Amino acid sequence: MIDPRLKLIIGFVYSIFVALEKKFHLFIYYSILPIILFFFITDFKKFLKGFISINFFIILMWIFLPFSFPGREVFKILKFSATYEGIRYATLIMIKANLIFITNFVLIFSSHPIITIHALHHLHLPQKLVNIFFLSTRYIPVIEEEKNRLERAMKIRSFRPRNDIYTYKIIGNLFGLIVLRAYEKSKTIYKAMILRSFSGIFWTYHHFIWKKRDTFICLCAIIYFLWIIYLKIH
Amino acid sequence: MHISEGVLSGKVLGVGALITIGGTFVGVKDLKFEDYPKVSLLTSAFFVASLIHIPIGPTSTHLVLNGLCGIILGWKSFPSILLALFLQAILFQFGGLTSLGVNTANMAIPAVISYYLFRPFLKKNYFFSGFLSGFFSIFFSSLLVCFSLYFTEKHFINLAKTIFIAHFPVAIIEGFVTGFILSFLNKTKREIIGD
Repeated sequence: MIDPRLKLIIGFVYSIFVALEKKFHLFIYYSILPIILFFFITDFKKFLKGFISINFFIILMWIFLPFSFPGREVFKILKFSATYEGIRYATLIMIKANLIFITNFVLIFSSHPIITIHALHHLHLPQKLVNIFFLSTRYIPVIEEEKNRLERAMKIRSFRPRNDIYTYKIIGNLFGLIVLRAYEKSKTIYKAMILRSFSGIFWTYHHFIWKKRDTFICLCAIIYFLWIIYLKIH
Repeated sequence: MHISEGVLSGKVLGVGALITIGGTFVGVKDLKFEDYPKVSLLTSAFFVASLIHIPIGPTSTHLVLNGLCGIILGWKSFPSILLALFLQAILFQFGGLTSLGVNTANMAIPAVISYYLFRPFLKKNYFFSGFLSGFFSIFFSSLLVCFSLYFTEKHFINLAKTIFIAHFPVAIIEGFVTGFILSFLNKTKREIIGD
């Protein structure tokens, strides 16, 4: 396992580099990291799901962009002509989004959210924010189970969502009840926190240990990014 | 509503990130010890809201409820929405890490505005002010999404118009649901809304 802090930093720096890039020919060099990381994907089902949800927005881009940019005409559908510039722009967005997705999927998305937030804590995210992040991430599965329980009860009483005011009212009541349960739970948690003399910091059992391998990977990443900056300038 | 990675320009991403950092700072600044559980658990609830689906014509949409979030949490809706979008990005790959700032600003600015605009009228009619806040938040959020696209590239205008029109029915549904939630909370536990 590589240190989560290092993974987070590499993923974030890479995303910013790629998101701000406009030169087409540099993407050959940008794709080196995702190609290496692609071999480290373990959960292909999750990867495919994420791939589809990322490219949903991209498909929208492909529908609109080729026909809304002025420029050289490539082909025509009815009255609308697709231009070279539009297709080029849509391709650029597609490449960017997918490169960032593959890199971040392996580096950040495949580890548990709590680990990512723990890493953010060590990267000096404000303590108050970290506390909220920890607490609410921990209680999301609990509230979700509550939601599933209420939905099961609705199903048993043969509730079917339709396009009418009645459905909106029932869904409104459902979420109102979820908020109510969450609020009551938060009161219990507050009492428990006082009882355990909470001082404003959530202590963790597991600590990140920086190994020699991490230093090596860190150096490789620095060299890689410096090389890309060099290519950008020349 | 989530703008993917690699779509927006550096300027738009930068402005969005700055607004989000500023808003989150204001939201967290006067957070007291006893607020942690309430804010955190309501954040979890608002995250779970995005898993509830409502039919809209032949398709379906999920609840956003940034209007309700704004009315209950005020400025604290900035950290709340930031976390919800962060988790959506890392768990379901909706949106992205570089566009997190812009996406959060697009959702949280209407939430804070609806806190100031509709909360004073809450006591007069819970359902009606809830409806207005729900409708306004989605309406204004989709307008902000359009602006972020337009300031990136002027030729995005057709896409932006389509997104704006597509969100209009969603805004009406959100309005009804938010209104019903607020009148439910009024009947059961008024202290959540803070009256």
